[in-house]
Amino acid sequence: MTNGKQPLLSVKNLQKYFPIHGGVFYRHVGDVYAVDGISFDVYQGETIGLVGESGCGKSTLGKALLHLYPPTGGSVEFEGVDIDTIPVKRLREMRKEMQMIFQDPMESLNPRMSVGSILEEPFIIHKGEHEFDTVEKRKIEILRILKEVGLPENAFDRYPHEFSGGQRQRIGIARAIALKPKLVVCDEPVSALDVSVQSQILNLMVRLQREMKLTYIFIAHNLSVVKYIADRIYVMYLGRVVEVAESQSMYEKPMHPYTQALISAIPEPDPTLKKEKQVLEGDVPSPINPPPGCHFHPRCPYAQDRCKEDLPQLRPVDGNKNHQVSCHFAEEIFNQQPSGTSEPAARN
Amino acid sequence: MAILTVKNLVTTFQTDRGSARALDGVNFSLEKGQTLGLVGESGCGKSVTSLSIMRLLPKPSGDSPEGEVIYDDGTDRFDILKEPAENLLKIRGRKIAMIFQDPLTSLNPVYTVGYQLMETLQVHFPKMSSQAMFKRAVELLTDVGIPAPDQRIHEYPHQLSGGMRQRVMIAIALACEPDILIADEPTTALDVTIQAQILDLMRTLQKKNNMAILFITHDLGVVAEMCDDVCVMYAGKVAEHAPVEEIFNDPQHPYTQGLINSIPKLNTAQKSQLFEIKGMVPDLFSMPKGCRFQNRCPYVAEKCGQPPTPTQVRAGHEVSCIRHGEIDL
Ligand SMILES: Nc1ncnc2c1ncn2[C@@H]1O[C@H](COP(=O)(O)OP(=O)(O)OP(=O)(O)O)[C@@H](O)[C@H]1O
Ligand SMILES: Nc1ncnc2c1ncn2[C@@H]1O[C@H](COP(=O)(O)OP(=O)(O)OP(=O)(O)O)[C@@H](O)[C@H]1O
Ligand SMILES: [Mg+2]
Ligand SMILES: [Mg+2]
Repeated sequence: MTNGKQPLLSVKNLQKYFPIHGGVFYRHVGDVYAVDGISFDVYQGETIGLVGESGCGKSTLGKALLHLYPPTGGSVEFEGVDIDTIPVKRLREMRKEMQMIFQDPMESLNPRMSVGSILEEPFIIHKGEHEFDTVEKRKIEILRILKEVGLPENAFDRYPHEFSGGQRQRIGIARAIALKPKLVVCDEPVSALDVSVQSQILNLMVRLQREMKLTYIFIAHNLSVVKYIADRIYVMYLGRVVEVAESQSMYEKPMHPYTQALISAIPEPDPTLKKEKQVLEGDVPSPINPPPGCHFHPRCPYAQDRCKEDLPQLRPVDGNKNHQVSCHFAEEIFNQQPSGTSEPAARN
Repeated sequence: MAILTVKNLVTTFQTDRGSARALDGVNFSLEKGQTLGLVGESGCGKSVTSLSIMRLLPKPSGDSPEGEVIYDDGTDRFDILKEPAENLLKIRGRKIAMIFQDPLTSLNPVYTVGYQLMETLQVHFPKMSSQAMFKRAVELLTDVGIPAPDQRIHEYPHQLSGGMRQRVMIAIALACEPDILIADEPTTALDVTIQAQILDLMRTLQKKNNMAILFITHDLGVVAEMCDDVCVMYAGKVAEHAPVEEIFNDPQHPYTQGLINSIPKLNTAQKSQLFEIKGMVPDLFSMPKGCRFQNRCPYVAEKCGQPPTPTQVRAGHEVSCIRHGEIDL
């Protein structure tokens, strides 16, 4: 389906480590392996879903993609250009094409700026790179954008704290799409919202994607939301991708024990259904000293000796390059699954 | 038996734009050993309700709430809102404990986990020796499933993962075996596998101590799993209160119905139009007379301009909709 085309974004073996300093001399004593060797391609108009445990490196990955964090290793190419090597000025111009929506809009919206000035800011930063070169032209465009995201015109002169959570998220979306970017990294854009507001925002994001041919990297921990919006899903665990698949395939045939646990632990919105859950023991190990071998082995109910030493790499399942898993024993585990835990048909 | 009864709770904030009535007569009761879910659109007053009960509203903008919050465990009975301030320290923690939405802001970053646990124990058990307190603190961390608790007890909050911090919060909340636990979005920041562990833990401790839980969340999957009863709030008022099965399978308020229909399902077609409740909650300063949901309600009629009164649908199920009985949801 994507053969021959150039990916919009191409990520190769991306790494981001945060150094830890300690001791009397504040020496470098170790690293947080926040993102540890991630590769993927994204094509225009696609949505990539990123899911995984709190602290597994999703936000770090999102920021590294936009070069908000310089990577420790690996590369990010945007339209074929390595963004790590280009001059700062080019990078700034390129930023116009790559935007971010944050989980908590209150943290990312300046409380002392009116919504109008918040939305005007990107136009001013990227002066000369668009046609809105006067205050009047910008105001007309901003009012159009406000309408586009479902905010009233009078929002222009009001301040972020006067809005509800869902409305603030609309302001964040308005700011992200103001300069008509190609790529939007959405860091948990609906996690803080209740379901009725969540549907409004998801409907809006899907509509904007269609109209503007946007490409989304969609970070979330709610799997039903990711399945709804993403074409392909990457499941992360401790800085690494443990499974990749097209959304449908991920739910029908989760191959990694962690993905299986994630799907089985989704709370069912039906009080008459008391499903048997696979509750994982133990806690996520620290990314400072990831365990040797497979990072998931301390919590994995199927772990064997090999898993403690040998770090598995992503590999295709049944020769299918679109579904990859990093688990030595994925096929055996999948075949010995009790039926019901991983069959979506039984859950709907 | 109701261990906590909230009657006609009204909470007002003084702001630059005037006074905002965030809670406008909230009523519900919480039974011993049971879990009551508190749900509703962002800003409807869930956190303000819990802070009003705990008497933790910010001063001076939050006026002391009006109404009654009756605590009654069979031997002790009093109105929390009328208790003198010096008694509150004893009530908080021992009788009612709270888990806050964000564990990082409510744990103190400059003290170790152990120090914060022992500080709580100290307030309630001043006669306990420091050795006994340390032992109890390790026990509590073990109870909430923290691995290597005798090491972790010396660590600072930032050294723990999100899931562990949340468990430390729960350990602190449970330190004094409270009769009531108020949990404000306790698992929202966590992935579902850690969430499942924490929900399991809360249920186990509830059984052990016959603790009542007021559970605030916007995850209706969690509500279905955890709650016996559900109280649906809208714009500072209770719209509906019913046993959990009836909220999901027989919602009586148009807002509850909209909420249930908005739940994302795994079999929803990809990128299809999702059900949404159109429009938005009116501003606290320009609330309409009568029903507060009227501007978004598909069943609105002229009489909705009058304030609704709670009507009993059947025992344990109340709805505040003036058109109840004449509309077919
Ligand atoms: N600026 C930083 N300095 C040091 N460590 C950091 C920094 N930012 C993130 N980390 C660490 O990197 C790891 C990954 O963090 P990140 O915020 O990317 O996780 P996440 O998957 O987005 O989690 P969440 O779901 O909680 O948002 C964590 O262990 C975190 O503590
Ligand atoms: N300190 C304050 N001063 C003024 N208004 C406040 C204050 N705290 C809360 N409010 C207002 O009271 C209302 C209820 O807020 P509350 O935090 O209880 O909502 P919530 O139901 O907990 O929402 P969420 O789901 O987003 O947590 C909101 O309109 C809010 O703006
Ligand atoms: Mg994050
Ligand atoms: Mg709240």
